[in-house]
Amino acid sequence: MLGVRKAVSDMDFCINIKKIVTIEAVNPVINLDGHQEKSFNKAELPKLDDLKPMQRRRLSPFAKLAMHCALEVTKNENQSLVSVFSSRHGDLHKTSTMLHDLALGEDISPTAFSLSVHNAVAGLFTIFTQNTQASTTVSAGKDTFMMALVEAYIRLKTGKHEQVLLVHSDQSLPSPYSQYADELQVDHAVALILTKDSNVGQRLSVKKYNNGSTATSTSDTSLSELPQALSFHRWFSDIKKTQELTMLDKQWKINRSNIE
Amino acid sequence: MSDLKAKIKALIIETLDLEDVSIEDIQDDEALFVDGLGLDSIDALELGLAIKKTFNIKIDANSEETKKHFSSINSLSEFIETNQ
Repeated sequence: MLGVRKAVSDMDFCINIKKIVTIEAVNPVINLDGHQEKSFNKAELPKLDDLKPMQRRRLSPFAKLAMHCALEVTKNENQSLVSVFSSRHGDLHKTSTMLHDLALGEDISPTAFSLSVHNAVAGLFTIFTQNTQASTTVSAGKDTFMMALVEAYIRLKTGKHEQVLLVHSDQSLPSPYSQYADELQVDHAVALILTKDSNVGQRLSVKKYNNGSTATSTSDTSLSELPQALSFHRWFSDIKKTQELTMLDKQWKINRSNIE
Repeated sequence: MSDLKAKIKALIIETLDLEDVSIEDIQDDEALFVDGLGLDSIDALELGLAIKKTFNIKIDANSEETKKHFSSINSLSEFIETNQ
């Protein structure tokens, strides 16, 4: 094509989604600072009846959301999967409470501290399900969900595994941080089983353009304010929507094809 | 049941999020850790902190004596009574 510069993608891969499970708060509430958010109250959180009470009791709301989706999506799997967990902010409500206590010179909760690492949910999930496979936990700002997808693809591409579990979760920011919100604040978790098998589920074609794609894509702008994982899920679950999904100032272009 | 013992039991249930456990379920002479109630080392630290805050007493985390004090509701209430 003369005179037309075609953008060359900086990353380009295909991956199949076998199963997806999500949970998302739907009722808008106004938080203490007057910002609108969608968050679960305690009674609305997943009950996690499959776990023993002694396992359930230390799970924070954040952990419950991720654990619910991880357990649901792997329910019918007969073997343990390698896993990628991701979260932009991690269990920031817990972190924020601990920082608050520290600032006041008070002792912090040993239970909270013991589960305050970024891969705490990955640790709990693999203990509860006796899963000894490798696990990675990813965080990459607004781009966290897509980077977790890249990590999952790398796992499938370089390892001997046929499937990988991807679990993403985030919550509305706790009030000391809500002034920094740069996307809609919604409690949510998304879990997927991704597979190498190109004949299973739905096939995704993913392209990344570091300088933004030149495509004048007509992607749904109503999705762009959502956290990435939710924006992806809205697009993915709407079977009428065949157009491609673009994210992060068109740095990502995603297309899909139905197999079944 | 003495008031103090009931208070300690309520504190254990609340601090350690023991859903499905009520004050009546915890026996005064039952082991709190491992066997009996099935609490673990993190619970011991959490409970120690809660007792410190609630009853305003100092607890030495490394002493053998402390282990004995935390063995049951009976020993805990005795410990709190003598140190308050």
